[in-house]
Amino acid sequence: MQGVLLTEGSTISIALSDAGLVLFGVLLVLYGVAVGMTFVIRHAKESWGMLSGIYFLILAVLVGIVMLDLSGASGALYTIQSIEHLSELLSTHRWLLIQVPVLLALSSLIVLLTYRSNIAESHAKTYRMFLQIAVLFGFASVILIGFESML
Amino acid sequence: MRSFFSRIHESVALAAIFALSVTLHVAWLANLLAHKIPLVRAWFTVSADIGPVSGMYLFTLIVFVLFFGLGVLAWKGKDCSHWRERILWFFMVSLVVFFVMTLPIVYDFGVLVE
Repeated sequence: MQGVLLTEGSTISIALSDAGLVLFGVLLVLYGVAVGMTFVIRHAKESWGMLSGIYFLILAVLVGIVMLDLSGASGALYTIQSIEHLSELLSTHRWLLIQVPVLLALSSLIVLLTYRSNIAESHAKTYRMFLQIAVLFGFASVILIGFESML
Repeated sequence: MRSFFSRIHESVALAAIFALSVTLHVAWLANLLAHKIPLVRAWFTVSADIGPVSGMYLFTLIVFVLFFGLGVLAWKGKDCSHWRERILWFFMVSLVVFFVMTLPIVYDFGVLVE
């Protein structure tokens, strides 16, 4: 009997054996934290260091995922014949889309390291807005990639 | 040395956003050209195992670094306050254009002439 968590050969154990899946899960968690922290940084300016660390981790995980896919060290592949062409198109779209969170995370990290705790001040409003837009679009891109990979 | 780190080097932050915006445009343009012109696709194929994506990623990275450097040099030591809003708008437009132009139905669009 194959269960989700408690049985032998559970779904979770199979999922955790796939490095790409683990990294994707970690990425979603990191982005969740980054979204929350980015929107409260104005009132918690000393958290800029932790947010910078989160962005660094996001960047590292994204590069890891790309490297895994480029090296071909992926898990089993399933293609539904009837939507094969759509799967191919969406795969190309994902290869393009992955650049967005990488570039956004890199730029956000640079902005945070430049402004540090001064990011909370009134003159840094434009850069805070940039961080907010960047983290939302980066998160949305990752979720979109996840959804497209299901087809 | 202490005064260097205590100052806000806004030129660096602005250059990062500017480079990001330019890179997004370059990325969708590179994809469109690689998709339509076989010569460009071959030119982007740095690694035969990976395909044109290898060259496109490398090109994107080089463009980002190049425009980041240019931005830092252009805005170094200057008052960047009046550039903030402009660069932010440029970034937002670049993001939207990238998302639209990388949709398969958009870059795959072609007109058949018989």
